[in-house]
Amino acid sequence: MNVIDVEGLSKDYRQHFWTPLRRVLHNVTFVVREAEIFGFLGPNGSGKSTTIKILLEIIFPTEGRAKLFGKDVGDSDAKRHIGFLPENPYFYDYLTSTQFLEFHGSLQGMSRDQIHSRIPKILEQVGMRGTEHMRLRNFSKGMLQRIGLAQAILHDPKLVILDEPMTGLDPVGRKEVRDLMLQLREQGKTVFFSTHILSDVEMVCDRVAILNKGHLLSCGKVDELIAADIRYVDLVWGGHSPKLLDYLRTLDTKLSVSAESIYLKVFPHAKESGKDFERRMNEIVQKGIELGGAIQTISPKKETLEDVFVKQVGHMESRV
Amino acid sequence: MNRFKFYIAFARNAFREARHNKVLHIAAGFAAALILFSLFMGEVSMYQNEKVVKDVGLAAISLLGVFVAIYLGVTSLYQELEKRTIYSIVSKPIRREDVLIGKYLGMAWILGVAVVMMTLYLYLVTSFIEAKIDFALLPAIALIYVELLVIAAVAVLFSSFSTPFMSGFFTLGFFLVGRVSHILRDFGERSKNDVFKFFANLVQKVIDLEPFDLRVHAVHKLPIYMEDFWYPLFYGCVLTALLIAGSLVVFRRRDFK
Repeated sequence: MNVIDVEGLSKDYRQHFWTPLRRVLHNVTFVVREAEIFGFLGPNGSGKSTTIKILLEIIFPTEGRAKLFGKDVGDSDAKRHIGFLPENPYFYDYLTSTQFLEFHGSLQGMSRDQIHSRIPKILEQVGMRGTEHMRLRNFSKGMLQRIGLAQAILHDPKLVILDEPMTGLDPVGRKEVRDLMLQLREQGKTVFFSTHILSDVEMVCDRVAILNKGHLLSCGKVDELIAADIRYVDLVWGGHSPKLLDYLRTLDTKLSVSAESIYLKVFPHAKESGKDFERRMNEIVQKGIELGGAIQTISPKKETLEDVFVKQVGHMESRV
Repeated sequence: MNRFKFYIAFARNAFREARHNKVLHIAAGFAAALILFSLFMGEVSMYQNEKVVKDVGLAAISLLGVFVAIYLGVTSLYQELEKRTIYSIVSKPIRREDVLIGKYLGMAWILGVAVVMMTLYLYLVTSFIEAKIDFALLPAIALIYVELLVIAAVAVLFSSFSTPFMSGFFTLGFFLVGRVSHILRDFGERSKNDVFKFFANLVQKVIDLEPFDLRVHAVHKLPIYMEDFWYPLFYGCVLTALLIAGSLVVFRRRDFK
């Protein structure tokens, strides 16, 4: 069973009652499976938060439907298994960490005993141990983000939805959140998070969806989205054999020569298949060695998620 | 989930919030100062010392209550939306209706505590001029509380779709019209214009806050009949229920942007 099932979701907004309707989400369809980390990727204003709000019934869709655990969004049973961290969370700043978690735990239907047995464990998990009696008004942005995470996982949900969870965190904090996501996945939980920080997605996500201007551009496994094909190969030769240099100059490549090394950047030809490119590379390497060259490094450069993202979003911009 | 448990959680949270609200502290301080000042006003009256203190005291409780009811009614829901705390609340296994009812019950609790505290304070002040507790004030105070519940419900209704300023403006308008609607009806009775007569009568039937004011009865020891108390109590409950039901209709399908 899919944990999240979104089909043909569209949303129209009206800024004021006298302004015309504007479509901010266009026929978005995707699924999120059990025990995976799903990254919802897109630039600011792409519709990520709008989709999340629909999933949590904070807003209602204009068209389409969304299901959580096979039930329509808004279903109390489904909501019981969800933990949610909103973007830029603001919480009641007059509460202490404990009071804040007590409040959210009771809204989840947890008993007082359950809440109090979970609080120390959860605070430890988000690195907030020792803040039990501190008021939230004294927290930094990063601490607020962590306490927000704590309320999201307090009731041990099966699905954790995080809207821009890395916002306001320093590199250490970001790593800790990534580790927490991985930890949740290990426990069999599903993590759905939105972000525009590509490196985070590449590091932890099983699958991603790319959204721009309310359109879903692509959805799939990270390594499927990133083309398996090599963009180019960096080849560094040690030593200066004149024959090698003459040979390399005959090739259709980028060449630069320094005192000790020869740098070669080999691009695949247009319409050249991956296998043909691989064969051509083998020939270059073999021939170079025969001509007295010694290879220092070979590094094939593949497409990154950033390349995919920029390409897709850029393509979309040009269409719009 | 046990809804009652949720309401308690919400009411407790609302109360904690109110405890840290400086605006409410200042308002309570002002009302307390007004009651204290009535001691001096009583001094300059002719043998009416204790009546002046009680009259001003009840007026101060009512004024403070109306201010708190409007202030909480228009700001508390709006702040949940503006600061987006509503997002993490709505994502919980709770019906939207329960959020609004929980917020309203929280307000009712705060208003109740404010009225009880001001009443105790009024009794403390009156103890300087008379050595007994005047229980005749209690029905008047109880109806002040019911009136405050109605006003809070009006504020919640307006704030479910409007800004705090507009909601406050409309709610204050409701309160003022409600307090003078019986005068409007009297004007209508004397008017030869049938449309005005109908309109004035209608307004008085729908918005009538005058029956909640038993101040004169309580202060001057006039008899308070059963219907003087039960009618406004019943009217207040029905009106509050209708207003909250109206808010729920708006709140249930509203997008929290």
